[in-house]
Amino acid sequence: MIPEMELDQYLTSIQNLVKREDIVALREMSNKLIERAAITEDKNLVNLSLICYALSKLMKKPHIAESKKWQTFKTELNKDLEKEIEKPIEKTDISQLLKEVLDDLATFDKTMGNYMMDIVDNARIKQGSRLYALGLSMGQAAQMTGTSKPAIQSYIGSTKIHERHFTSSKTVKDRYRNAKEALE
Amino acid sequence: MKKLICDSSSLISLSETCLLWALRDMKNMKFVLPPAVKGEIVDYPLHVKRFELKAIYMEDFLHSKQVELFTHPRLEQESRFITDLANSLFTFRNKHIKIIQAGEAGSMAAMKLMHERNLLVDERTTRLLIEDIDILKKYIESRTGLKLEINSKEREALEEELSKFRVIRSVEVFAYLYDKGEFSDLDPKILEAGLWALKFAGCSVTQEEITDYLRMLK
Repeated sequence: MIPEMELDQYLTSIQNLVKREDIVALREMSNKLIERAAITEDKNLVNLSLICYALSKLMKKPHIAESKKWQTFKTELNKDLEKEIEKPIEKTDISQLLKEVLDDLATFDKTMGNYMMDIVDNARIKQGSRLYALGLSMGQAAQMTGTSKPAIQSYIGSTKIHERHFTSSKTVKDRYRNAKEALE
Repeated sequence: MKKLICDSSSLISLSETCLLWALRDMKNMKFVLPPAVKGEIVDYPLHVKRFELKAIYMEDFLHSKQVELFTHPRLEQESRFITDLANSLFTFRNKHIKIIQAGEAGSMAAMKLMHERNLLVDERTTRLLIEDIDILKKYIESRTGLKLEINSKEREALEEELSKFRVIRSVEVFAYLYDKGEFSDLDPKILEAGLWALKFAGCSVTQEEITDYLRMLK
């Protein structure tokens, strides 16, 4: 478990990055958080990573970033994060807050976005594939990010994740010979 | 009849490339799935609009004579045993790294209980866990920048469980069918097209391996 105090620091960083509209730093933070989650298996870190990713994607879209609804959304988000940070440690419920922020982001994107798949689903697939790229199995990556194996796998296929030649632990000749024996 | 235990990753690749029919046509084979795999390719995707149609096709495939759903009173226990071993194999600063979950372990547990040795799996981590733990460690270290420790007791136990297994990927099945003449009435480019389609569907095969296949079978 990651200590609440540390999680509060992440919330403060998110507040600052959103205020500064620093899309690149949000993306970097999202990646660092998911890399840490791969080792700690901490659900809060996963959700923080998904939030950073979704925020960075939303802020990149001109029709969203320039809209009044986005300004309202940002103000509300800031208030929610502030409230949580100011709470005494024994009264905090960051897990619940993070779930609510993810729900809010998904709902916002469903009304404002142009895609059938909302930004949080997208974040789950993107960061799930990152966990797989780090070495976790596809099932473990899907479970941690709350998505499905078919969704992650179809994304992975379009990346260069499998282009690590030293992971070819057998020659094609050997593999094919084994396959023939098994299938004939 | 020969048996091939299936992980969901290969069935997803074959379904994505509309090649499940080819498995159906392999009348000498029985494709065996543990319940966790069914959960991943049918039960869960049935509730996701984007994957619902594929899940229905997959469900139909599971009803074919070539497919057997494997249940066993000790399956869950064996799956947990393999999951626990794999998830305590690597440590970083005394913390275990959880690398696999129930679905992947279920296929390996089924192989053990059925005394079978051939596993159809496209997913990289399970493949390396079976074939070469050192390469898996090297891979994770290269991607995370962490220096991992291998727990020798778990390694020994895992290698005893898994080293007799042979991994077959969807590309091997496709290459075999091509070699057998299953696609002889189609454009000869089908070999290259099929191998690439499976790679794009998520099979852990490198570009270099595809080139090797083309050199070997064309």
